[in-house]
Amino acid sequence: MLNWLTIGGRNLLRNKRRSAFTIGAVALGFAAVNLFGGFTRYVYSGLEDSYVYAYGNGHLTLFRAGYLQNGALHPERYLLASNDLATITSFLRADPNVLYTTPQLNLVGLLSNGRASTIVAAEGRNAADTRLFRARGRGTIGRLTFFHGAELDDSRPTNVGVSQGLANLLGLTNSSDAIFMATTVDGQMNALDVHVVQLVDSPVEALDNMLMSIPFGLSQKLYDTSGADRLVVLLRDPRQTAALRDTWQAELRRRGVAVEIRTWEELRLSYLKICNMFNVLFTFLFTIVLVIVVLSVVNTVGMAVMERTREIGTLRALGLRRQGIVTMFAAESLLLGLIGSAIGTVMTTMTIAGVRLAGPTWIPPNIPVRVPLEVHFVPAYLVLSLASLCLLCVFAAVLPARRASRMSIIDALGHV
Amino acid sequence: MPLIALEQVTRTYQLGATTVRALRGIDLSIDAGEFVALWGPSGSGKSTLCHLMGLVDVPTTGRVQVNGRDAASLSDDLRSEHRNRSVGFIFQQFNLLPVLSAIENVMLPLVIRGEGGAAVRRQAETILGEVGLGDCQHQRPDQLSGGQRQRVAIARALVSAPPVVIADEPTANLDSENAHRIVDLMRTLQSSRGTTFIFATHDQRLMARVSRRIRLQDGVVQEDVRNPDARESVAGEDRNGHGEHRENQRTQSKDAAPKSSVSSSFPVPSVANNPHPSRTTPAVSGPAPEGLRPC
Repeated sequence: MLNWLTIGGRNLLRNKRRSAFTIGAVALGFAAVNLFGGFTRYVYSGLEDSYVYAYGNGHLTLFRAGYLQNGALHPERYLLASNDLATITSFLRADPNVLYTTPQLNLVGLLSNGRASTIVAAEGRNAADTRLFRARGRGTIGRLTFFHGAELDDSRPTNVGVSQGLANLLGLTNSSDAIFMATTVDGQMNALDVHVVQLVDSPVEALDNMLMSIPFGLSQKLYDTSGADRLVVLLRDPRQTAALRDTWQAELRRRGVAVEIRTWEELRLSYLKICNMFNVLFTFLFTIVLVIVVLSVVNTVGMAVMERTREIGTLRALGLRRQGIVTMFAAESLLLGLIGSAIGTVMTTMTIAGVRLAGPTWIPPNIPVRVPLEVHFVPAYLVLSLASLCLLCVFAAVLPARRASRMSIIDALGHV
Repeated sequence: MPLIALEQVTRTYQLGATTVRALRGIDLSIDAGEFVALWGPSGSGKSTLCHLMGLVDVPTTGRVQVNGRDAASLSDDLRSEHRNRSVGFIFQQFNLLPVLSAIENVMLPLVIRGEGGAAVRRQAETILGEVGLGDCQHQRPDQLSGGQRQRVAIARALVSAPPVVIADEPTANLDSENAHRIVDLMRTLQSSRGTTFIFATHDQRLMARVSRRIRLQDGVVQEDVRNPDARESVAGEDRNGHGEHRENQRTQSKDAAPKSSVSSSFPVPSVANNPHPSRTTPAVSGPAPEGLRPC
């Protein structure tokens, strides 16, 4: 059937090289946007998964109300007591959205090798729960460990991990003995002999000289408490995170437990900063692509208008309205966008497959070890780029097409 | 009521610093079913007059009326619609779209109108058959000879059964043989369909085949002659334009152009009596005009 899209398609074939160049520009732009979008999506999910699963921080963290404001100065006043922990845990486990819960107790103390001591920040975690969290990580994350040496063991509470920088500072290896000192809830100095079994890769350089990973039992013993300073929750569906926070907070308050709940994004401030940075880069790239596409289409349609002025005059003389001329060129331009996007989709898919096949590795932000570089296939980005590029192609064609439609028919017919 | 009426029409172009007065006060009326030649030397204003009558141009002063309606009162869209529904154009350079086949070019006015499908294709096939190109439907313009292209253009002009066909130098790019055939074809179609044909030419040899000839010079009508003995067929006739019957002749001065509407007893089929001849009358009967051979 003869229609303007058919005519547009044939007109594109009249100057194959120029059409191919424009389609190539659209396809490359489409692929660039989608590949970078897929890469950023991979970075975002990598950051989320490493924090939530690999480091065992969960999706939601519950603190006693006031802990985040005053807990640094008076941690003993803002601990979740064992009965609070029992109430909260019992409440959470009844919720089908909850996969796991685990208490944690972080300490600040001194680590000594017998000759020198340094301040350390110790994360007291249940080793078995940490492994459960990690095992839930998607893809590579589920297999990642950020330490060298043996796993911590809840049945051997004196086995600890120290960050690489801290080990270097104190001359420790993953079989060294050391003394860990901290104050109890009552302010008394407490010291325990510990055995280093793992060297930890710190996620943040600033913590590399002071990070320790210890079993939850050891932190309770040092602090001389049966409580914890937080309760971490892993959800089945991460998309429920924000909604559950609000629901739980209200429900627990109603049950007489004053807690404040934070999502992992609220606690992991660097995540949002990194996301913002990539979003800016993505916008920048997208803008460049759009400008290139617009210029290519304007050039192509502008040349087509010039070359086909007599045809425009003929069509107008045959009764095609001004709007019809615009529609005709817009249809051609739309075809450029559609064909370019289709080729761009193929290029994107092939590149993603190629990356998976080649399996390159890199060290992403906030992950201290080399991990496989991936590019996610994001259908939403494909649809979005298809729609925006096609719309843009149409809009880019409108300006020269409008000019063409307003030409005097006589001048157009006489054009050589 | 005349099909087209021009009253004191002038058209002036600005070419750089030069002002070109293409038409200087034309009074003219064309009735339905006439076969009119506008002739005169280059620059006499033939094409400009064609453009004004086809509503592709607007006069500098004066009035152009189509079916009694002042063209100046029509918006651009209405003028476009008028051209699409009521005027068929045939151009000197054929002006076929190179990306379309012969039949698709013929279908174009109907596609512009928003029609489509099998009925439109059948209509185009019929008219292509009438102009002797039934076997060339799927050929692109660059695969056709000059004469064949012009016949496609004629078919395109006629496909929507317009009351009037305006042809601007339709034979200028054709050799003498093809030029005569094209004019004969137009004449035959005019007779069978009752379509009004107005064509500009500077070829005096074609004058014998027109029912009315209007001579232009320097933008004014110099002569307006009815020719009731105009021949409809080229077969067996000489092509020198001899034997015309000058029934009415008027000469206008350049400054005061008298109205040159001419009444004639020459019988012509009326479009008014048959507004859609292509849908109700059979294709031209008998063999195709000489030279209209299949591809």
